Amino acid sequence: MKPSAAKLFLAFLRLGSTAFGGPAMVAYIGRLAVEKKQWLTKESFEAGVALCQSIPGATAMQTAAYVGLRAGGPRGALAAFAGFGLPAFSLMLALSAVYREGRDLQPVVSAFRGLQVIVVALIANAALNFGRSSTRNWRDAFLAAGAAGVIVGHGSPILVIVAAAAIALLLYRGVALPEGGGHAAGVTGDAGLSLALSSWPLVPRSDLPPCFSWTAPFLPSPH
Amino acid sequence: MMQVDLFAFGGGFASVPLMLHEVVDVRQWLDGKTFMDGIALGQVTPGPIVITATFVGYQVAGLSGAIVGTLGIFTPSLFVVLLTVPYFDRLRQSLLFRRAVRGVLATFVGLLAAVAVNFALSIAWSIPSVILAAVAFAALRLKIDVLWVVLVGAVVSILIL
Repeated sequence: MKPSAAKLFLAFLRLGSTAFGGPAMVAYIGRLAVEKKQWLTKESFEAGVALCQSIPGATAMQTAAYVGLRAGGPRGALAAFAGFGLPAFSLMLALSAVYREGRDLQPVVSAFRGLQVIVVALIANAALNFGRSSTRNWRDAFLAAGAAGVIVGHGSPILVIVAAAAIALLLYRGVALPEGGGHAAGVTGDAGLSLALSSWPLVPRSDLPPCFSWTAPFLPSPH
Repeated sequence: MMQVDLFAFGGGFASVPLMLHEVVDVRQWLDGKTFMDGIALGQVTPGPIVITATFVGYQVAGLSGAIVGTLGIFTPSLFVVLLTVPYFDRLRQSLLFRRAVRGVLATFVGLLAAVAVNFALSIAWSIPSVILAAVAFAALRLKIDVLWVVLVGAVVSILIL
């Protein structure tokens, strides 16, 4: 039962307009694709989630593309990806236009003055969460501190990442690292997913921003 | 606008340091505060936070900028999926791949912390805003949904700032 590209597009369009943040987005996709529409098996979906978590990019968007790919080939992937992204794009476009027109109005100025402060809190919170999960020995701390130093000096983050990957090849030699990917098998398409995710390994998953969920395969196993 | 696709490296929050560097430091399309406004808006829209690229594009070049920015940020994600699906099983067995990923993950901690510091330095702090930041931070630690923190924060800011 292969859905048409148009069907995939519409289904993900609907999902994209209601899916607000967090690992929960991946749960919504699973419920739609595995349980409701049966476009792919639970096993295939779980493998896809594991994949999307361990490659760079926006995890939920990529999960949508993966489902589209399995259900309708490359055309399906494009349809699902575009459908899932379109609502966010439209809303952001409208907000951007409003922002440009209204940014000098007093209430808007006040609101954003406060929001800038909240963004600092948001990013500090993300750093803290992320630090708890991926800074576990001196090697991690060394890389994190080095990266912070370069960025405070307004160096290039892309260089930092490339350099870190290279250094890590030597630095982690002989260190036992958990096998990537496999742990995401805990992901199912049911409503309890975000709950399951949030109680999973050391990190409170629900407050991991979606982008970091791709770190999941590299977190220590709970056992 | 062509190089916007560089953003997609880390995705989500991990992309914030990358986007900030490219948009504010290197290209000076936006000042840091406007960029922070874009991140705040990215929190109240459904879908991923990298949608801030739409905001950046719009502020720089209107509708066409928004479209190019959005395509630029999402296209690499799509291709990464299409290209890695066939190889993933082998990739995740690879020791070198795991080491590199572990190293990159550790650096994201530093990147995010540094961005938080840089943002904090760019703000003219006052007593109400320090309190607001502390309350927002506490709410996030208590796992209150980001959407609510941002929306309630905006309303409170209109009243007190």
